[in-house]
Amino acid sequence: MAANTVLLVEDNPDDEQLILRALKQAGVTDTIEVARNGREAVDYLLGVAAPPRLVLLDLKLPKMGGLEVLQALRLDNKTRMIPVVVFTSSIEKTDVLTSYDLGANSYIRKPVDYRQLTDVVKLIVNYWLQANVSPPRER
Amino acid sequence: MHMQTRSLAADGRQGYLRMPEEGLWFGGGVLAFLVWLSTTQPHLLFHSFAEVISATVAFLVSAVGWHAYPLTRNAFFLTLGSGFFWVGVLTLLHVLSYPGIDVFDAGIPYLSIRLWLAMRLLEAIVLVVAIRFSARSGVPPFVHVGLAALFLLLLLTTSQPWFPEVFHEESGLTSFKVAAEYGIVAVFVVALASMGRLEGRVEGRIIRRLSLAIGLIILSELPFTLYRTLGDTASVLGHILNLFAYWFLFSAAVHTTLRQPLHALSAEAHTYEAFPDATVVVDRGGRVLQANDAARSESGMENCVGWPCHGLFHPQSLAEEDCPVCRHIKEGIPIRTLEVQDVEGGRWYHFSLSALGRAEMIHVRRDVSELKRAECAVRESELRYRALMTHATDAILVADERGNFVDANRKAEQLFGYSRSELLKLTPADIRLSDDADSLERAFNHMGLHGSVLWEHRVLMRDGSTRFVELAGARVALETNVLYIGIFRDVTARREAENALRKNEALLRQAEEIVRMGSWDQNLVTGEVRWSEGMHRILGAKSVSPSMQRLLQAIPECDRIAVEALIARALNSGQEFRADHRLRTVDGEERSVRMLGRAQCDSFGRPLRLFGTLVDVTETQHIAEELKTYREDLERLVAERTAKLLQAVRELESFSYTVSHDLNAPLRAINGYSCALIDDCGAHLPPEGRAYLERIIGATHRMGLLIDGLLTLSRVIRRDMQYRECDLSAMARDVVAQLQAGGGNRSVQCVIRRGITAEGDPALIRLMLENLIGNAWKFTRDCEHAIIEFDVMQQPDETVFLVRDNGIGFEMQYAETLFRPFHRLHGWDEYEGTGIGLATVQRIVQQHGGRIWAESSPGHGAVFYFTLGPRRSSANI
Repeated sequence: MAANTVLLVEDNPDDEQLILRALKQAGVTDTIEVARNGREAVDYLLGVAAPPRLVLLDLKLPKMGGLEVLQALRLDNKTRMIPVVVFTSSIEKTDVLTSYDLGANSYIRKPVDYRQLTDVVKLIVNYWLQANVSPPRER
Repeated sequence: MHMQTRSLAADGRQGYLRMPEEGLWFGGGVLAFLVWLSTTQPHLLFHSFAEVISATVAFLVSAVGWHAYPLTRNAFFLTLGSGFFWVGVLTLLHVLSYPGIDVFDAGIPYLSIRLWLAMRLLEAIVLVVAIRFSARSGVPPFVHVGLAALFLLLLLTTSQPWFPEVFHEESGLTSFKVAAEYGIVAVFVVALASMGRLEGRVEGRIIRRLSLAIGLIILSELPFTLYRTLGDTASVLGHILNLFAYWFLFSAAVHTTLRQPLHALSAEAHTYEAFPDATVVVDRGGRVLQANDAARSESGMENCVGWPCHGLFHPQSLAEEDCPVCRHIKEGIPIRTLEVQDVEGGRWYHFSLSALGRAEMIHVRRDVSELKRAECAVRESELRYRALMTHATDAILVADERGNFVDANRKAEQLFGYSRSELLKLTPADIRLSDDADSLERAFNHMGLHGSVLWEHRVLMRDGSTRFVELAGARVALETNVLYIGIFRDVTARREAENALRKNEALLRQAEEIVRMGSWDQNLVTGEVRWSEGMHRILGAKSVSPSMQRLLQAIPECDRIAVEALIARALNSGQEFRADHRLRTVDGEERSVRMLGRAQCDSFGRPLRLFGTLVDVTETQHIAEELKTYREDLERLVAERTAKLLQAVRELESFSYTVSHDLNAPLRAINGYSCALIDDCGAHLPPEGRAYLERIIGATHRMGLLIDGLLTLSRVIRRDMQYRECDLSAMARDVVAQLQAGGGNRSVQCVIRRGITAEGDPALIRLMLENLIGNAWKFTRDCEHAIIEFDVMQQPDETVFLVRDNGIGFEMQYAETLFRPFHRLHGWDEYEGTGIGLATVQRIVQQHGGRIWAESSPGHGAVFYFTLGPRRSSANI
């Protein structure tokens, strides 16, 4: 069973603050774990007993890039079913395609405008956490 | 079946069929003598004898005329026969009622003479009627009925008591009798006069005989008006003349109706025997009933009567049930010609069948194998001729004696440019030669005079061009006519090649001079050496006589050994050699030369010839050295620049990546915290403070748009172009739909021409249309009735696409600056935008090798024109 946890992988403290705020505004009650780099995220995910319900993953990360994190998650049986929303500033076509190729569930660009950011976060939350649409899970 | 008097022409030639006129008179004379002899006896005997003969003749004529009719179809004799039967009856009655015999008395005085009158009248009328109906193909029944009725009428009339008296015991003939006789004579005269009508129906000789008979009858009438007693001389004379007349009548009837048909039959029988084709008469069962000579010999059976004709005459490869000829025989259907092949015997037959009566058929078989073979030979010969004509690589024109073209092959059509049908309407005089007023006629005339011609000339073609044509022609005498066959070959290419060769030789001389080259050629068998002018030029002496020795001596010692070794190896191997060495000219100057050479060997590998070139490369070498330096510099430069460029591209890539990630983050922070400030501490802030924060938020938002625009532009620049066929109309419709979805409730009339396509990078073109149409959308915001058009114009050398709007437009003086990045004509507060859109559009157009320009005036809308490169783009409207 997944714990009521959401993992936010974000190296920029400002972005972290704003996203946490937006999540709160969207009414998320889950515990939100934050990983500051890719290595930390992977260690957490492979080590934790109950996997989070959702991972919000930035791509440009220190130590280990977001794409590598994604690849590592999808290679491990324990983590491969966790929904991952890539949430990044990049609009590079290669980033988008590679993310989906590696098994991202969604690729959403981080808007500059905070009001747009809150809208987007609301959409993510509605879809992945509150709407009664749960992704297929391992027994 | 049709054995009419067709073969009468043969009559005169064949003596045994001919009845001499003298014989007629003789026969009549004998008869008359016999009658006269009877006058020595009592008159009664004479009279009976004479009249019985007359009656007999009448019946004979009747019988012959009647029965021969189906064979002769002679209407004259049929009518005559029909009437003469009654004449014969009346004659008999006349005899039987004659005074002294009195078989018929009936108390009528001189009934016999009355019946005589009736008989004579009937006879005359019968002759008139018969002549009248002779021209008909048949005799209508009423004629026969009429004649019988006339007989009855005459019989009844003469036996009436009121009939006038004809003879008086004392005074002899009454005047009625005499008058009646003259009346009858008149009818006979009418008959005689109308004899001409028989012309064509009856042979002339017979007409003469009949005329004679009628004449004698008329003559015999005269004595019958004169006699006083029944047995006097006049009466006897009358009867004798009458007998003569009847004799001629009889002979005419017999000749026409018996002898002639029999003769025709006999002739046809001979024809049948003489017929060269196997001819048999068969019954419906296919059995031979009768066979001619040819049939007997072809079947190989002396007597083939009684045998089935299938076995004798039909192809044995066919079973009798399948044999078409047998089937026709069985069904009694005539065949005009039926061609049947005897597969086993390899022969061809024509069969014909015609009905003979109801149960028999005449079966004719003609062997046409030879004919067929001849036909085949002709056809094959024709095919061979056609094949030659068709496949000949030369043009062939055939003219007849009158000078008209009668045949032409495909090559001739191609060469002269006329179709075959047009050529066949022409004569050699119509095909002109190019440089004089002459024509092909001269060549054809030459053929006529000398039998053949070999000739070459420039000929004017139909399209006005001229070709060098070689003509080999000959006069060919056939059985019935003479043909002139001309074989034409287009030798223009050869001629041109010869001319070109001559020019090339001249050019080569000039070229040798220009490139300081010479060629040498040593005949190893004769030792003879030839140098071109260039060789002398290089050696610096014109008077030097060419020899290999002299050439080698001009080479400095150190180089000479190497050159000699190369030459020796070339002579052994037959390969080419190349030597770069120095050469000392006659003046003592040292030059750098390159010698190229090759040995030519015979089939045993023995060298026959050594030849090659010598090029003075002294100047070339200098230039080459300079060039080498330049090239090395250039290569170094290019390498440096390329490295720099690659570096720049790498930097740009990393820059844009950095920009997208790192430039956005602080902006987002400023924007986000400003929002948070308003949300969390808004209540503590004065209104100005909140307005400032709103301005900060707006500014960061615009900054974000700017960064996105720059990113897009950099992506366009970095992109590898991928050319595809794009449906620009569909893309424009998409863009409009997108704008309409996000553009509130604006009503914009969009006119997009259908089917505009072009070759380009679909993603970039889409981006370009988004920008252009988006601009139009934006700047028509304040229009009451906004119109946006997307259209295409086909210019002679390029396709120009355009986006037109009726928005606010701009001053033309800014038309150039529009496309610069970050250049804006309107303030932020007027129209949103980054100023990068049109720069991106221009970049995309340039990437495609096209150009973009704009036309506008303030308040009257704007038109943006663009092309997508002259070579790749193609638009179909």
